[in-house]
Amino acid sequence: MLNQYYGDYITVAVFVAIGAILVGGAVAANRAIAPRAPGGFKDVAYESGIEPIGGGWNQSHIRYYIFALLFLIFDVEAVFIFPWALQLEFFSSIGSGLTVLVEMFVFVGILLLGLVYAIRKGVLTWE
Amino acid sequence: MQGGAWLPIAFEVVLLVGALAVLLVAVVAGRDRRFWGPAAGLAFAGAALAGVLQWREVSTSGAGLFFTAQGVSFAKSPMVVMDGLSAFGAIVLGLVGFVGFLAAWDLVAKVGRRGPELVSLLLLSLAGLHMMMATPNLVVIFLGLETASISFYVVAGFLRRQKGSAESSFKYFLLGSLASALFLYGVALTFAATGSLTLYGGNSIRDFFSSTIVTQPGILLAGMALMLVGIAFKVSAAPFHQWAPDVYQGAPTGAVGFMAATVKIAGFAALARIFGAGLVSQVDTWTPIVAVLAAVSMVVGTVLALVQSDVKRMLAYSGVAHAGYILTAMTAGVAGVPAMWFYVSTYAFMVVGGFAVLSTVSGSDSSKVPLDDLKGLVKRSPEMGWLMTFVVLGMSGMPFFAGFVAKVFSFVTATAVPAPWPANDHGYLWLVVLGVVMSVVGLAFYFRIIGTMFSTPDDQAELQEAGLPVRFAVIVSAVITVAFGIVPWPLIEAVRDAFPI
Amino acid sequence: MTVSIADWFKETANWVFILLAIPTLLGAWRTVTSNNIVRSVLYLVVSLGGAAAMFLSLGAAFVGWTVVLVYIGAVIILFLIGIMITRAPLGMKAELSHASNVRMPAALLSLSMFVLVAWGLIDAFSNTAIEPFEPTPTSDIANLIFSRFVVPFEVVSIVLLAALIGGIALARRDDGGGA
Repeated sequence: MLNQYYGDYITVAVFVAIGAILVGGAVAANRAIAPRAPGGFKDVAYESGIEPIGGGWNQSHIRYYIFALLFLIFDVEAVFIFPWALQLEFFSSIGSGLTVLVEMFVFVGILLLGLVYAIRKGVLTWE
Repeated sequence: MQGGAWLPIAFEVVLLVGALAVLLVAVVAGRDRRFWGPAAGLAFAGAALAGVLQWREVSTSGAGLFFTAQGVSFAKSPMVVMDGLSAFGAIVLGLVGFVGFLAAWDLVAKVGRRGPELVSLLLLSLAGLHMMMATPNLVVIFLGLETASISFYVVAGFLRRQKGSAESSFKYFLLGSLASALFLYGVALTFAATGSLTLYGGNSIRDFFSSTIVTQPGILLAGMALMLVGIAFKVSAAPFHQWAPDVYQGAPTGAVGFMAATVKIAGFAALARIFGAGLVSQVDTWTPIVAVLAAVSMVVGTVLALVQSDVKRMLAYSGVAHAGYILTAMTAGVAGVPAMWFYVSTYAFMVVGGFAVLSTVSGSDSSKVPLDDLKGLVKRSPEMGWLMTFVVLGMSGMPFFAGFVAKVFSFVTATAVPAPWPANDHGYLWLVVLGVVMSVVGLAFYFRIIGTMFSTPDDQAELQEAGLPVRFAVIVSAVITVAFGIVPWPLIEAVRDAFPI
Repeated sequence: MTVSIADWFKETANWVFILLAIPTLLGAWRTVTSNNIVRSVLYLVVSLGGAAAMFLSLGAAFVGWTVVLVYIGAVIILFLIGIMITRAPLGMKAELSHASNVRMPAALLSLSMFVLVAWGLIDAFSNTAIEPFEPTPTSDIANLIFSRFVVPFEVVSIVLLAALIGGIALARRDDGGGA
């Protein structure tokens, strides 16, 4: 079983290795072949051919933070939903399916109420 | 079990429902605090009531472990415990939470439409704090700790436009997450050493120690040390106290009392649960470390409080010293739990009351409270001045105030049990001597506060009268400080039953 | 039982471990030494990826993929957005960089922490042989979460709710009334 398990991941490892080689090779080849003439306009950020205005680093609006936070929260929720979905059938076969269903509904419900509050308070409105 | 399967987690459920109700009422009925405020008040009161019901259940049918696995064949390991410790803690947390919520009522008005968020965070934090003492499972203790910590980081920074508040929140967050991480690391190492995350029940840490002789204690010692550091940080025991003055000073005055008091209650209760009850067999290992923490806390807290010019910082350092006196009680191991409870439950009210007075003097959304703000308080507002005097006298440990009984109880407890290091039959006598000396030194700054309040005010302007809820909070705190100083026996009787199983 | 270095290298699992540990450590090292904070975050991805792979190599597939999904997928995004909403320019700032008199105690503290944990682990487990183990199927974890660990599971939602409300309270734009 362990060998089977590792065998599955060797495929992943091979793909990671191929990816690394491709990227690394391309960068290395670029380094080796490309002519170098640094300085001048090459240090200017490319902005569709127009001369750039202001710096490249701008402060983003704080509302993006809420979206990222919501993404994180519901990501964690998803992590719990996968194993739950996997085993719900097993739980119902031993007679505690309803309990486990309610457990997940409570979990999701608490967060949904938080989301309802966020929406009603206009946190997610885009303007 | 009578009272249904919900009783052991009733405290948390009531607070969670309360927090969600506050949010929903604020959305549906309107943002006015009069709509959703009662829901929050009911939740705090209901939580205290749940504590009383738990207490009655424990004293009639005995303590118990709950939420063991059912239906699936896994080793039984309970997730919730209902015993003297958790029930008494529920009562104290509920009442302190209620009084602290009333003290924060003016602040709630000042933060405007963010009020529901503030109050629901306070409700959720209280649920998390009780979870720390009502579970035998180290993971749940950590989760409870995190619930409370995350809420309090935000509450500390609630006044976003004030520099002090943001600094307070950020410092609390950085140092607090470090402490949480250390605690979690300690839990992991303890799990590695004992093979269990549960303090009691099946396959527990206690079982492990009763059946195993630990020959290589390295990893266990490291785990215990890290858990102790994490808790010492949360209760602001020196040398892990550096965050406390800055956080107390920067956080909105109206909510500092709530934060400071409830964290101490839960932190010491968790200490009693993990070390007093769970690691009871290792008592000779950890009591000397607790004694050193206590000694350092008393000295550092008292000496640094003397040189402060801001009342909030002063009370923060005084809190460090009080953590030392409470840890003194815990050097007796699980036998120190009653003294710990007496001290922490009375001190919590003093903290809430003290900060409530400061919020009426300098504004509930203030950051800094220089000592001069209190000048002539007794003349400007006799009610607040005298009540604050009682509270400060209680903190200083004057006879006929609760602080005195608490200190004596703590010192007596520390000398009642033989100490392992230095080995003798009189317990930690050196610690008690140090404690008495530091109590006397501490009088200096307590009387500096009182002296300032009785001095002639610069301007004769009457203090603007505080709202009824805040006044009520202050009165309750002062009454408790005085009442349990003169008639301490009922509380002493009660805490004798507030043991962990 | 003593294990010679030659024996240690005969074990394939140890090679896998070394292969994963080196990038993990390098990533962690560059995270704290990099002058550009965005690069720090990206090096953290390397470090977390190494940790995830290590969980996978120990047969804990669920934990490994959780690290990928939650940490690399969401927490790093939160980090990057957190950096983007600050006004601070990128790069080294002389007045913010630590004075050398702070570096020494910090290094000592980290070192003592490392020594403490390493000593504890070596003391407790250096003589313990690692038994051949089976990978933990996700179904076992599900069985545990929804029966024995149901209380902590529900508490997680409370932690997340507190984080959500806290985030709203701190990050929502002000339209008056807020202090």
